[in-house]
Amino acid sequence: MTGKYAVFIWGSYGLTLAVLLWNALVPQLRRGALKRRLSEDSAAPEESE
Amino acid sequence: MWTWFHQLASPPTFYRFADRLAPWLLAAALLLIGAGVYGGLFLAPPDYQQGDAFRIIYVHVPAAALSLAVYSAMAVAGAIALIWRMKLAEAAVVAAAPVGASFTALALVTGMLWGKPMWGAYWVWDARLTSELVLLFLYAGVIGLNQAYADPRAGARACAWLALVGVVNVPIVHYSVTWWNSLHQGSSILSVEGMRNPKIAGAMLWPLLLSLAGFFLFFGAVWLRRMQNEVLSRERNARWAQDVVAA
Repeated sequence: MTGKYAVFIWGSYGLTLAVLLWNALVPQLRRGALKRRLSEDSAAPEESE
Repeated sequence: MWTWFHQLASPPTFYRFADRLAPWLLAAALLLIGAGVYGGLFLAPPDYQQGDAFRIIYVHVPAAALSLAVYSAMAVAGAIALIWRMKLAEAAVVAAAPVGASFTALALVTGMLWGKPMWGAYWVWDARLTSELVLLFLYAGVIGLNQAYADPRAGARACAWLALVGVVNVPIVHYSVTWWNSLHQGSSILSVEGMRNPKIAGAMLWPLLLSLAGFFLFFGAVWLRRMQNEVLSRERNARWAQDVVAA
């Protein structure tokens, strides 16, 4: 794919890869952050006692 | 069957079900997308008019199809959330919106990148393009509305209403190329007539079908993951959620 349309084609596929990666990774990162926050919240009352 | 559905509506059952299903969906999706993209880029012949530029179809059409399907799914989930007040349906509406918005934006941008070499312009105020842009604004509205509420259940119900009202735009997007004069081409396969008599050669069609199937499975996987996060956050005080966090 090196013709005159290469920039448009590879640009489209590059953006698609970025969107797929964003969609796949964000829920995993959010879940990690959520679990950390919830475990800190549940540990907080015990620490204050 | 109905008993199974009722059980699945319970947050802990759903969470475990999604944990098992999502990795398989993601693996199958990546396999299908990979095969579709490889076939589209390297095996399908160039179009006799558009040359290689037509290869953008293998990412543009699946993204555009998902943009409509996700909003329709949000409307169905929204109706269930409003009628039966099902927590899982509320989570489904809220979780689908960012994914749908990202694929709508992708459909618009890849369409622009296809339009420039074919039409000579990145953007025209054509019925298809304009209605798809309105769809992106509707997604943005749902995301913004959800973030505007402190109470997640109230926010989700407001989002459900917007999903239901906005779904009127879905047939407008789909039929815009039929109802109005448009620069955008008509449906090649995503119509009853297109299914019966495809306007696209078999060598170009199979990678598109693989890519379409892969994108839909990919959405299934990430939707489940986002719903899990929503459910876990809302049920944080429940015993099962604390067990999940502690595990």
